[in-house]
Amino acid sequence: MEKKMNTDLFYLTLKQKRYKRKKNIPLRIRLDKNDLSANTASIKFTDKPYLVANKIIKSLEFNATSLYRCIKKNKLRSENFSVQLSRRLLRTKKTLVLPSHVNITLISNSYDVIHSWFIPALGIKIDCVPGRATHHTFYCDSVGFYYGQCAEICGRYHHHMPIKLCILPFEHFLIWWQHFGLPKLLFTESKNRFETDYGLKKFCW
Amino acid sequence: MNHKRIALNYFYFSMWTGLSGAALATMIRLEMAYPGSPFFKGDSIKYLQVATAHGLIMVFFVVVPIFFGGFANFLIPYHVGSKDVAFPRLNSIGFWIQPLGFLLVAKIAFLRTTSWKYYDKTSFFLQPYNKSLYRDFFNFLTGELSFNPFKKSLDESLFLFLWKPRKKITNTEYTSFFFNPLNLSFLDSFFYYSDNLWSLANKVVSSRRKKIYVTKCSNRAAVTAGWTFITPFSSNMKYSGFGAQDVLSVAVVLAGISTTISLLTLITRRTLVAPGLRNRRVLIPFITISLLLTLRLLAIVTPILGAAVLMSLMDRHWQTSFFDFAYGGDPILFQHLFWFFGHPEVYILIIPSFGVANIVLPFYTMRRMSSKHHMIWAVYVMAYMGFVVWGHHMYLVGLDHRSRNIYSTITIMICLPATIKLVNWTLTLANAAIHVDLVFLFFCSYVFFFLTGGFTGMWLSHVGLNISVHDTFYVVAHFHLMLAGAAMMGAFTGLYYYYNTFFDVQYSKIFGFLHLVYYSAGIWTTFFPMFFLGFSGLPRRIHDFPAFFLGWHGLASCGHFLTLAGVCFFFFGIFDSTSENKSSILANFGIPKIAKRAHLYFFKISYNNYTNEIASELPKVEVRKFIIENTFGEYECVKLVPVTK
Repeated sequence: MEKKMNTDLFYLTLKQKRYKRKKNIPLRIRLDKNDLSANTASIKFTDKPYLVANKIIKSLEFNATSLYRCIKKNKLRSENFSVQLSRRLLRTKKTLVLPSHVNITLISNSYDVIHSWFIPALGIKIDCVPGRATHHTFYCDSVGFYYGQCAEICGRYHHHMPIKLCILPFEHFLIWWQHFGLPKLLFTESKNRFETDYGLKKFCW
Repeated sequence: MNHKRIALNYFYFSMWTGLSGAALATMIRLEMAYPGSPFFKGDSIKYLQVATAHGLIMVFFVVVPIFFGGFANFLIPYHVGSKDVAFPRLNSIGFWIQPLGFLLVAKIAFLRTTSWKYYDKTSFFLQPYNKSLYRDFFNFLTGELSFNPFKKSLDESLFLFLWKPRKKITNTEYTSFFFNPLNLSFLDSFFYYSDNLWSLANKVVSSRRKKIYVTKCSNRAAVTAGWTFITPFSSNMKYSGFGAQDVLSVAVVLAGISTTISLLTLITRRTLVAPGLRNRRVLIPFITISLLLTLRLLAIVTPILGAAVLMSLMDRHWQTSFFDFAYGGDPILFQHLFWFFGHPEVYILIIPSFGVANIVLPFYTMRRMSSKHHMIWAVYVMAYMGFVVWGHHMYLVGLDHRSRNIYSTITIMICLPATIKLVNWTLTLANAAIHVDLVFLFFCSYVFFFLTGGFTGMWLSHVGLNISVHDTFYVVAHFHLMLAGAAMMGAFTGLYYYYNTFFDVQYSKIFGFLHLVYYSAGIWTTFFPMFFLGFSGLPRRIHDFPAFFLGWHGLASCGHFLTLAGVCFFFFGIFDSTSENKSSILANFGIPKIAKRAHLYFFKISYNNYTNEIASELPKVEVRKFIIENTFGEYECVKLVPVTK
């Protein structure tokens, strides 16, 4: 009971603005127990893991430049140059997942105004015209995320019509399809649960 | 009424409109200077409206008046040996329609929205909450019955086309002030806004914020369609409400009427009175050839624009469905109509500058053009090929690939006449005794702009390349290099070349040179980075971009201010040449130019008085007016008879 009161107090405390600069940015330390149940191995990482050369590499533990920037701007490392910031206007809630090494025909249409489905890195652009179906066949042989924006003027939020595409290797795509694509199509009852709980990020790498 | 006076009017008018267009461009560049919408503060509709107005003003109210108002009106009657245009009074009317259209375009910045309250848009389960039922009663209660004089302006604000009524406070009693931004009038709040006591209490705090919200987000009077009038926006009241779109459509129709009138007066047979000249193109100067050609093209394509715009207006107001897909129309039809006008239109804007270049080049190289016939042929072929390539603006809308193929082929073939022109200019320049003057430097700058714009345009015409750069900043860079670069450079070349003729004074060389350097450097710095933005895939017409594109956008914004400096130098030059008032006859008295200018500015000494003395010694003349009658009408003529004593 005592303990519960304490946690409640903790949660009710408002987070104050920090007025003094941080002197140093603490590393996040995770302690792992080895076979002898001692905290010997400590994995340190100070930022989100990111992908280099097809491997997941933990971010550098000590980088003088970025650390200086963090101290100067009084921010956490992830806030300083975040993926969120650089992907601004490109973030989407839903990602289109497609297989690589397959001919894909994309057929587009529109319900309201003329849009244009544009992915610069793939060199694809299709105007989505109300009242007619436009199509384009393409073939993608490199795996990864592709971003794009709507390229035809479509009103007030034209600047914020991001497109995100994930090209998976074909086998991975089949797995994804079995687990996420197909159930989504079949069980429309539990649509909300699938959309919210299973993100693509959880699965694809 | 005189064609020269009207031409000068056109020039001055296009200076004003050009300045306003440049102001709009400055807004756009400030907005794009940094990600996060620093200028319009996230009001994307305002940005779209500004970009639309910029495009319309620059195309219909700057370049067209300069070439077909200014140059054509001034030069064509001279060059074909006519006294005036065919219908001088009609010509004057045609000029005065132009400011009307421009005023309409300027008006869209000051339109007010239709006023609606939230209860007009919401459905209520409990009918007592549905205040739109009682609105008339409330208006009556708070309008007619109350003694507040300011409530009357509420009813006026329902009417869209009124200017924002300026409230003059005459009654300074305390009770008059309850309309202030923090709305503390509880009676009003209760009737209009509140659903319960809590929201009534909140109203006091949130009223300011709510006001801003309504202004930003309910602005359906603004235009979102862009200068190409993209269809569901321009043709459907659902997407852009009663307001700026209609005003712009009417403005474009007015511009078309003005253009039609002026080309009527210019290409009528009665203007071409010199008997030996008709149908003998070789005898007419290049600029007149190209101007007459483009006037004929305008006569063909302007009605099509008018028809398209009127059709969209009918879609909006008279329930037709030309462009509404839900009722059997096709939004692509409008694009076909618009670009059938639009592509010849862009050639119409650039072809007079060929004429200017061909006129200027022989003068400064002291020799003929290397092949005048080929040049004329190239201009004609380019003009007529421009009629069959409109589809290259619409590669992505679902055209059949075979027709895309044909459009692409013909568009690439247009590089043949363009190359013929460039080769002609090069051959004329080769081994020539070139007199490097300001006008010649303008010509060189023009050629480089045309070269770059043409090459990038050739790349655009290829279907596969067009798929990745269509509607990106690549296109923006291309046509701005062609219009703000090549066409405007051609206009400036012609203006400086004919400066003595137009304004009867010599242009100021130093300001002209500064104008040249800053303007062209600014255009290059502004628009060359946009090619890289386009290659990276940044779409056009977005006001807020991912931070990735910041670098090139920042450079482009810097370049825009160089261009603005160039424009300022142009106007300084006009001011300087006007105030110095140097005679168009060259005479220097052994005094260096800079000393003369310093004397002029600091000691108010003008050395042109000498030339004026000489001019005053000319024989006195007497002005006699008489009337000539021919089959077409009467003309008042002036004859100068020397006075004999």
